[in-house]
Amino acid sequence: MQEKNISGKKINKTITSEDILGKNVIDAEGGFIGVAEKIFIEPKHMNFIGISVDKGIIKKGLTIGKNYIDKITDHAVFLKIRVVFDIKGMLVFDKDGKKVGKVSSIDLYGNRNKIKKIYVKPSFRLFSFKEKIAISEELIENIGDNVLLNVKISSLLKK
Amino acid sequence: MGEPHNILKSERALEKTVNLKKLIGKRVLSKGGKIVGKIFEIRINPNNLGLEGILVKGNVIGKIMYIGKSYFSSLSHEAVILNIEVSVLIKDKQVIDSKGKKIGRVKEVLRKGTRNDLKGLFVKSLFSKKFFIPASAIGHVGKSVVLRSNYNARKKYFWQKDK
Repeated sequence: MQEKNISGKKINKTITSEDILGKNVIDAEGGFIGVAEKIFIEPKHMNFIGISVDKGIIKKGLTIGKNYIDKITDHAVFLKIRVVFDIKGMLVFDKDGKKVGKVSSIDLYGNRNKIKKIYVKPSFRLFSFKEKIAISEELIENIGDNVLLNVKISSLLKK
Repeated sequence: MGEPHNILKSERALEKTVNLKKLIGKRVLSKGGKIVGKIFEIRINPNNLGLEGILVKGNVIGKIMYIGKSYFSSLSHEAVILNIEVSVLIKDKQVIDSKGKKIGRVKEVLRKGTRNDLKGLFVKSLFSKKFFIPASAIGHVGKSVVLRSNYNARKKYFWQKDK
């Protein structure tokens, strides 16, 4: 039996919360982020704001704004971005491939998915006197499986 | 050891060169910082005496790779950084279609000759036979392999007969 419709719009091309919740969230690299668990709607204008992602028992949840969502398909929610929080725990190498340490925390520009600084827990032998090294975004050459810098380790020591 | 006597014509000065002996055992990183493996041999061209490539013992697959110098981005006393993501390391990655459905895992990587360029992937899931996905159907290779939207993977399950 067809449902009655008083929405003032054709709803056959829309999706419902059921089409989002419980689906896998996949980033731009094809990485599994977690499962969509909540939908946020702004109460005044009833606009869709974003989703919250359950990343499992051990990891903290994550809220993703709608501008970062690429598409919602039958099996997953695809993001346009790679979530920068995922670089936590990655190894950091300098320009020459020398290991600097491991990413321990990240500073973002507000609530955006843009890195301001990363904090690196140094490899013991290198900077045993330093607890953390702050590395600004412009010193990062590439982020893939790990982080590559565009400077030598010696220039980080000078700071 | 004192300062050596320089006997050079147009070659680079000693301090601008790299001691190849020190490179043995050093790590090889991909463009994205993935640890590909460790150098265990350096090969030179006997005709022009230039460096040709390195033999690398893989970190992940444990297999030996011979990587040509055209895939080097930089070389230092610490490591060799490549200008590529090594395509043979795609093996065992998850394959998902453009709708996010899991298709299977990469069982074999087919390359264009000895180059790093992909020709396609042989993929297999739990109940399917191995099937081929051409490079043209691959949208992105990152943490997993994401297929293009226009591609429908033709899985053949083990109970289906070959034609």
